[in-house]
Amino acid sequence: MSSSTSSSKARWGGFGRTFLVAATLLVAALLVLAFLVDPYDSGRSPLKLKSGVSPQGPRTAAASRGRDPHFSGAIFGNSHIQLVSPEQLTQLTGAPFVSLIAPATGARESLVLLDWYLRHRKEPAQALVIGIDVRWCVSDPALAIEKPFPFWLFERSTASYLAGLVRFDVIEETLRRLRYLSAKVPERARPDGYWDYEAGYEVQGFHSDPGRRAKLLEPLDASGGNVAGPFPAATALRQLLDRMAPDVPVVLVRPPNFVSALPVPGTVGARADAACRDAYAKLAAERPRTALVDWRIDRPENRQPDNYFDHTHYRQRIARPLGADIAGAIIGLR
Amino acid sequence: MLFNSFAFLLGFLPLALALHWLVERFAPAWRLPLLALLSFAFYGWWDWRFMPLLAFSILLNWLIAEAFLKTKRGMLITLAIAINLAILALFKYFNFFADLAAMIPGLPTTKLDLALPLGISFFTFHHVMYLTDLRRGEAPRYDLVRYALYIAFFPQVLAGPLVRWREIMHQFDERPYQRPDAAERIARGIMLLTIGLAKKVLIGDPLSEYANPVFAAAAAGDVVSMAQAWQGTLAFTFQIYFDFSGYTDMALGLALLFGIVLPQNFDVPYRAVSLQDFWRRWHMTLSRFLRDYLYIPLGGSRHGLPLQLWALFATMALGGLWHGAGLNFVAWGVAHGVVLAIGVLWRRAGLPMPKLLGWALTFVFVAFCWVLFRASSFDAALVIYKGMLGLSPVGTGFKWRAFLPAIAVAMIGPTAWAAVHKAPPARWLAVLTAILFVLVLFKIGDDANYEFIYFQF
Repeated sequence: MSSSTSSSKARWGGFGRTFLVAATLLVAALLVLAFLVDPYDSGRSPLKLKSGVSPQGPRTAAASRGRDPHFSGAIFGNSHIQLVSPEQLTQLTGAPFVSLIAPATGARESLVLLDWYLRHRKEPAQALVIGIDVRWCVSDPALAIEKPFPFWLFERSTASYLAGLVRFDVIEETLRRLRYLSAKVPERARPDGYWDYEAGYEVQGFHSDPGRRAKLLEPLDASGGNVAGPFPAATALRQLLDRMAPDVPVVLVRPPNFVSALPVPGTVGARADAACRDAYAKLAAERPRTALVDWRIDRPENRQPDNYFDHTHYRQRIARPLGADIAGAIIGLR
Repeated sequence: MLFNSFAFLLGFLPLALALHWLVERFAPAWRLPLLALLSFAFYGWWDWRFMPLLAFSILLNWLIAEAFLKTKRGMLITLAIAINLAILALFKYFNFFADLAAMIPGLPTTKLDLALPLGISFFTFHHVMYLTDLRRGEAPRYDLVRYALYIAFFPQVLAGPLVRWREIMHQFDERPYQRPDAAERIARGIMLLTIGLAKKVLIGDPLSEYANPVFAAAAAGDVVSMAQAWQGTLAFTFQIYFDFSGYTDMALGLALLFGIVLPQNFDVPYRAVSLQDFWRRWHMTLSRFLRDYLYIPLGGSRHGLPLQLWALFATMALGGLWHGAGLNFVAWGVAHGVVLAIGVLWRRAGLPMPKLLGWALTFVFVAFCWVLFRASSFDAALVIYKGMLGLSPVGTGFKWRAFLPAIAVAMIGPTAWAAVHKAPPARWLAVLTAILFVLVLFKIGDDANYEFIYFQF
């Protein structure tokens, strides 16, 4: 072998080794940086950092909000409970509320957030509000999800959290977090997590487009079709609630639906709806200080098309009295 | 298992490389059985139920090849090819033909709810290539392990490239890590794998965010504006290139890590100045297969113009059907066949075609045809075409900047293969490759990780 061939062979060998070392070091450096900077303010960094996060989606912001010791009450669920204002509940009950809802999620995500919230309480919570929509009525024990959710962020194991940090979103958020931490007056995401969706729906024409208005009047089966059970989400919720003090008031809310999405009596949908409602009514009856507030019924507010953007997304005209009902239930449970 | 997944990049690949190195070093006789085993494990990861199908397919074809070598009866090869095509038809085309039959009033039809085994279109063609060449007396006998590896070698089993037996079989008998250029091959393999991942994950996948909503709107029957139609079509035009050529780069790079050189599949296709030129640059190994095993047997170019045009048309129509069991894919193939035939007539007539005009016409035609490829139905394709031709509102918000990186890499840059083979063994390049690899790794970690478009074929 000539010396030039030998030298080339050595240099190519060095290429492979350099690649491996550089890639390993870079991954390690990025992970250490992300762990220390704690991009979503999950409280895992050993450093004392500014609390809160810059404006971002509720899925990741929930890590910071959920461990904020100020909030002794919390709302869980998806966009079907999103319009219930934590400010209103705070005002009416005296307990500071945070909204830990995440749109387009189901029971599995809510249970993870509820667990996260409970894990970070030094004092027992003063009240919990949980939106129980059709996604809580499934029989699938896996509680399948529809949209990506950052389960890794709420993991108990540090190794799983570190594995979860290997994502490009984390690099981007780490840079934003560094800006947030270094700014004197950083723009902070709303601490109580409230997000009024009305403007967004208005812009999309949900309230003005005749086509969308016409669709609202069309019947929709929103029962989920699970007539015979089981209801694994109810079981999982019961197990989670059993871990905390029995005197914490819990309000299960069946969110309002427009009348065209309510089950027609005598149909399979009606039986499925009743079966699901009964599962959560049973939970409410068996656990102390637990109430079921059911707005998924035929009531005057649910007959007004102007109160709804679509079958399941209502407006403030409903959210306010619903909030008052929930607050009343909490006060009644004390 | 996707190449662009943690399970593959951080699990299967390092383990496979370590085992392969150990066996190559200490028990070289076991190298090929190990590679075959790894390939089956890789294939079975998707859906273990298809492993027996792959094994059965390999065993049956090998046994028939053995029988042919003993008896020299050509009927056996015809039978084997017919069985392969029948299995492919059962899994891939049964419902397509059932739908066609249903169009005939009074004809009772039935449908099968079968999942499509991944890579079946590709490994069927590998069988056909070997068996045909065996009958021609060009291919030798191989033992079962070598034949299994030819069909199932994991870098190429799912979506090619379509490798001829003569390109790969002799390489299986080498001691790849004893070669003087072993380290160079590994380094170039790492670069190719990284560039392929980057093409797919950093350029191709993000383009789907521009294509998917437009084609979804068309499928829903919504009006698609001119700006949206062009946005969606161009996004898919580049997405499919970066997706498929990225996959091929990964396959070539992975094979190099195991000491195997696979054939190239792309040569800057969107720089083609004619449709004929395009097919010499796009999915080159399929073009080669269609030419050698379909177009030439159908008549080719040496038996008169009418037969040549017919062979071209039939080859492309069948090529379209190979891509997918739907009339839209047939229409895509037919459109290519017709325009290729027009190209033949144009050249025969001696008519001129300036290169710039030829490039523009080719690119626009290819992009137009991708609509048939991507749209979920003819109606949806029609909605897009109306938009592209200005028969719907002009619209606003054409995001041309989104295409700049894709255009730059697809049009100006060299192929990944060419770039990697010119690369020097420099330390800075290794660091740069590592940075790109880590970026891709973090991008893969995001929740939006996409399968390869060509897996459905």
